[in-house]
Amino acid sequence: MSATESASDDAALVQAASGGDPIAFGRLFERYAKTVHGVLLSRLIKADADDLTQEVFLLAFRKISSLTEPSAFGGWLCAIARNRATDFLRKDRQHVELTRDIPSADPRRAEAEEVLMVIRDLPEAYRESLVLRLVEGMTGPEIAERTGLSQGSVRVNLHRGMRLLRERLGSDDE
Amino acid sequence: MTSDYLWDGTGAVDEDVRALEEKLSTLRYRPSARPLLRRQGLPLRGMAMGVAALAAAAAAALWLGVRTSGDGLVAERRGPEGEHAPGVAASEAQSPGTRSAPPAPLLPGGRSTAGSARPQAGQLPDATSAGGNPDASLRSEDVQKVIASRKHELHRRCFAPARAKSTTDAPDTVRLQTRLKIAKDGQVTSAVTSGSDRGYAGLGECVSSWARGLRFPRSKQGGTVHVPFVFHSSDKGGVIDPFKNAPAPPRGSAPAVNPWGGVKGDVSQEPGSPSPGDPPSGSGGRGGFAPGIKKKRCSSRTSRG
Repeated sequence: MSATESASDDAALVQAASGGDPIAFGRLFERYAKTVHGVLLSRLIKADADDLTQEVFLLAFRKISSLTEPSAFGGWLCAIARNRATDFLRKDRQHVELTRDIPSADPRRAEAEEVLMVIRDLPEAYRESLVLRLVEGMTGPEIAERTGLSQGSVRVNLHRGMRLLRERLGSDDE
Repeated sequence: MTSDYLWDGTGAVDEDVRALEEKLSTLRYRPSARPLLRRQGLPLRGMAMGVAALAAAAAAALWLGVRTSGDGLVAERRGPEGEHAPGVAASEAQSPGTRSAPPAPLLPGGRSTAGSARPQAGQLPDATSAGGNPDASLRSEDVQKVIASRKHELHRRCFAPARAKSTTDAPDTVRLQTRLKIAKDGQVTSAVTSGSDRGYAGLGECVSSWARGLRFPRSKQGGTVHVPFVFHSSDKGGVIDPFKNAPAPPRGSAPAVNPWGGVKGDVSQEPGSPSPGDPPSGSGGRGGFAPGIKKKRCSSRTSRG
């Protein structure tokens, strides 16, 4: 499916979901879940990103009738995810101390978490694109389509972010 | 052209990208792993909604959730073993841009440290492998051992990145103190770092995050540990590695001793005589808790607020 077809398809689903069609919203959920998860994961630990992914969709579903431009659904949804992550961090850091997100029994997972921490330390634009590419396995064109960014922006983010990531991982390893 | 591989996965394989893809795929979104949505701790009525369910079912459940939950929708958090633990949530250390972890075995090209004796995040440190004595009190030397065994990781993960990004007006000395609550099973149930890391963005939060990954020997009651970290810089160009040339912590060293240079720990304990598992006070000096310092029992349950 081309990007144009996909976008028009999404727009139709958004319109249907705006009218209260849960099936249409379910399709949107399927299509955008990993995008939302990636956006959250570039800011939060995995357990929280997992939890908030559904919550972001609930928020979106509640407000979808306010979306005037159906083709902007991806960017709008990502904005909700970013805001929710920010809100989550702001509220949560007031009274919670513990995380056990790094499971001691799984070194492979721990290594992945460590890489993710380095990515999270990159500039925001880079880390989001890198998480979507490296963690969620999306391609550059797919990232652009789902997030509403231009392909040029995504390409730049990926390349510059990857360069920084190589530098940091390489230097840290010395 | 390797850039094509990064862009859309085509062209010649970029080994760094491929290795990262493989490693990070463990964190990928997996519908079947989603926790159930809850409304104020109660399951959605009539909906055992997993995201792995069919789209229609998921959408219907989402629809119901919206209609019934309002702003009160909450999702359970998962504990370390994947069980649901409503009290567990992210901490300040999870804020974006505050962590940096430079694991060794990330990129190909002969830089892997697989098999290295150096402890990695998530692995049990050496002291833990001894298992501890569940009938004895937590001993300061055991705490020291664990921290010492992970000091290089702390440096690599927290200090080096903070130093690399330190501002020109960064002070020469950064003093932080981390309070660890250690449960009976050796798990760190709380880690809070205080002090100013001005000029070294994210250092304090990173230290907290690192500390939460520590695992101590089992003990009778657990305890609360205050670990001061002092990072020095003698010039404006960077911060001196606090662990550089530091000797390994001697066996049975006392908490007041600072065996790894710039980092020292003390274990606090409620007043009273030493527990049966503590070493005798005359055996090599100051093993066990520092006397007269308040001891706190530490529940394995997460504390909020």
